[in-house]
Amino acid sequence: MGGGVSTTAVVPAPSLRNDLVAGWRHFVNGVRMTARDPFALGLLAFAGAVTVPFWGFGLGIHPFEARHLPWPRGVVTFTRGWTSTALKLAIRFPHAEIAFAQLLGAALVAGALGPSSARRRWPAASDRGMPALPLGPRARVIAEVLAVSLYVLIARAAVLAFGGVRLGRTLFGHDPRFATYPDVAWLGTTLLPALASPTAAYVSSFVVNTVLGMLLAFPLVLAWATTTRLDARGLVKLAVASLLVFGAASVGAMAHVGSALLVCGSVSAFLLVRLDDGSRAESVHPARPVGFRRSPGPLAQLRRDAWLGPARRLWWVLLLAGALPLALTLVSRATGPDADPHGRLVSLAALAAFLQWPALLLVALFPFGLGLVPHGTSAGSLFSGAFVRSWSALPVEPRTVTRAVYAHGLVAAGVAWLMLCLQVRVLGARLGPALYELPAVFLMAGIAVCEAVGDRRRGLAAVGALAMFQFGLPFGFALLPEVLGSAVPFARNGMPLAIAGYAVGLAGALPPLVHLRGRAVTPALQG
Amino acid sequence: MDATDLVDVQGLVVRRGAFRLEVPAWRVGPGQVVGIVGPNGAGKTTLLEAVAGLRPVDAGSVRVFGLDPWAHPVEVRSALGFMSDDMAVFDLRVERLLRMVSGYYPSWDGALARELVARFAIDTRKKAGALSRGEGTRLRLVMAMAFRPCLLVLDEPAAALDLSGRRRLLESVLEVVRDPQRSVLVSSHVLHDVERVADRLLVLHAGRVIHEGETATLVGEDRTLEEAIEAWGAA
Repeated sequence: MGGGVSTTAVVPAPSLRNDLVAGWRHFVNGVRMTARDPFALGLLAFAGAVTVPFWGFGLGIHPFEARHLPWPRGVVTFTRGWTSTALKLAIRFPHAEIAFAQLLGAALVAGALGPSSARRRWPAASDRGMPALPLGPRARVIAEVLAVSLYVLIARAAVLAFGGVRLGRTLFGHDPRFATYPDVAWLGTTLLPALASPTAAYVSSFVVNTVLGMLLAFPLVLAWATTTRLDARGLVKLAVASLLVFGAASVGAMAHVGSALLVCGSVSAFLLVRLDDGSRAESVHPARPVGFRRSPGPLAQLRRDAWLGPARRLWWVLLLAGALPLALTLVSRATGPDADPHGRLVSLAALAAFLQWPALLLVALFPFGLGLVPHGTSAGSLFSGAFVRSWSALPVEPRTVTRAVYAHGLVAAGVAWLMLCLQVRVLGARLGPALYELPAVFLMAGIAVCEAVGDRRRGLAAVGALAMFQFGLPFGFALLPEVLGSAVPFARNGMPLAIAGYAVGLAGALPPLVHLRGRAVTPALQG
Repeated sequence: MDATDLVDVQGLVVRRGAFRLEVPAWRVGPGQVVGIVGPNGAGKTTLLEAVAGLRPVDAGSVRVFGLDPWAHPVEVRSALGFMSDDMAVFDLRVERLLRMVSGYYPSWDGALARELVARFAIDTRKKAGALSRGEGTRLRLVMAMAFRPCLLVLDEPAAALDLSGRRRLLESVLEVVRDPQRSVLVSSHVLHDVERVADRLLVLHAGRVIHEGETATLVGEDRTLEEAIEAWGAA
């Protein structure tokens, strides 16, 4: 053979350097691909902007306590027996709404990974495997998470650069010293000799908050990013990781760089070791004789399944997420202040009531008790229309199925909202915030319909409306006046926020209604 | 349309983006096995979806059991069994999935369903999503056949099946057509199998019908179906 360029691939010797080089290359590719994806950029900018105030508070410890009860002494002084400690752990759960917002923010970031990494990650069917790149699955997912996190940091830096000083005054204005973290104070003093001035303290605080926030956020994003299927196994792993991270935050472990690194590293290692690349065998259930149902006719059967299916298949969710928090609330009300002088039971009931709202809302995505994303060779991506297609071979009208999906969404989300209002009233809180949530009922029903029929455009619009309604508007109304200065005419009372929220909710909830009319060609069939 | 025709297509036009399927006239009577053949992109799946009422037509008419399958999906699909290799199914355990589906067919035959499950060796403990491609195909076949449909529409049923699976599929198809009132439409690239079971052929190419008629007449005695298709330029 003559000389010239070899066309045969060379097998490199295994080495850590090769893995790091491959990981770096994938990270750079991820950054480039994300930069070319406007949808991903929008998601990441939104997540980076709305979670700006949360990264500090999400560490679970008020700056005052972090400073005066450093880990691990904080845990020791909290201990008064296992029951008291467990209760305190639950109550110290960092302001549940903030934790929830951070979790959702992490989901948005992980969601942006999908279009950027050429792999549908959430949810993903096992037959949509990763392209075979010369890179291990763990190194790959770390590189991709870091790539999208970079854009979140850029968005955060942009918000802080523009309005950080004003934000610092709002958060730490009562005493700038509380903006300083004890174990990095030396760093601040070295880098910013004028630390005594409030501006320098705010800057150092935001820098430290960013570092600590990244250490808190990284395992959360990793948990979402490595959830390949929205089934029990995937969601339990997600829940365990979240509880570990926020549990650590609740005892101050995430308020100090050293312990935060340890927690971040441990939880991330747990997630990576348990990485589900689709090769894990499904559990096999014991064999049962195959039984069948006597058919009352297709339409009658459909109605029966629509009403009874969710209760039959999701009774455990309704019990855990519906009855249990309500029982806690009633018990806390029945227990007088004498029996609960520190209000711990009330706090626990409030936490359960807060978590009940999103848990019951999700039931809207399980019409007939079936997940909206059934398995099929082409299923496994959001708004694929696979649900209605799964009914296509059965003797039912697709329009009937679509209407049943919407009705289920309305009923399930409506019950969730009524439960929220009931909880708020029983707990003696203001009803206003609960009333604000009403558009979420119609948005969830609309999202369910769009997912069922495969209307990606209207579905994403509804999801965007929900995110804007749930996070963007409250964030904007609460924080923008601080960031932009009081010249911005944002009112602080609830009515403008409610009007804006209802308008956004309506804008997202109305378009999906088109699928309830007639027998339209579903987007999944077009083309 | 003959009163006994199960399928009657007249002047059918279906558009999918730049692709256009045209079938001027086509009928399927009872007791027939019709093989629909042609290269990839010929319009086989589009035609079968139109017959099954899964896709509307842009012009012309499709009548199945005398009804428009798009306008009357409940009536038509109560007696039409459709199977496609990539048909979405609910991600339930197989036994729960079959139980769920059985409630929608008054003519569901539990004994036949159990027999088919055993014949196709389907593990009923597994979730539908955990089945291999071949197992998933066999499951979809059971769902399409267990309620004893008058018309069985199979789109590439053999694509993911091994030799024994194809043999069992052919046995099942032949059992269906022992009933002179029932018919089968099957599209497949496995021409040897089509030649064995189909007594009529519909040959498509680039959205056009290039041949339609009895298999023996179209293919002849001195060549195989594969050779005939190559000769027609429909390979």
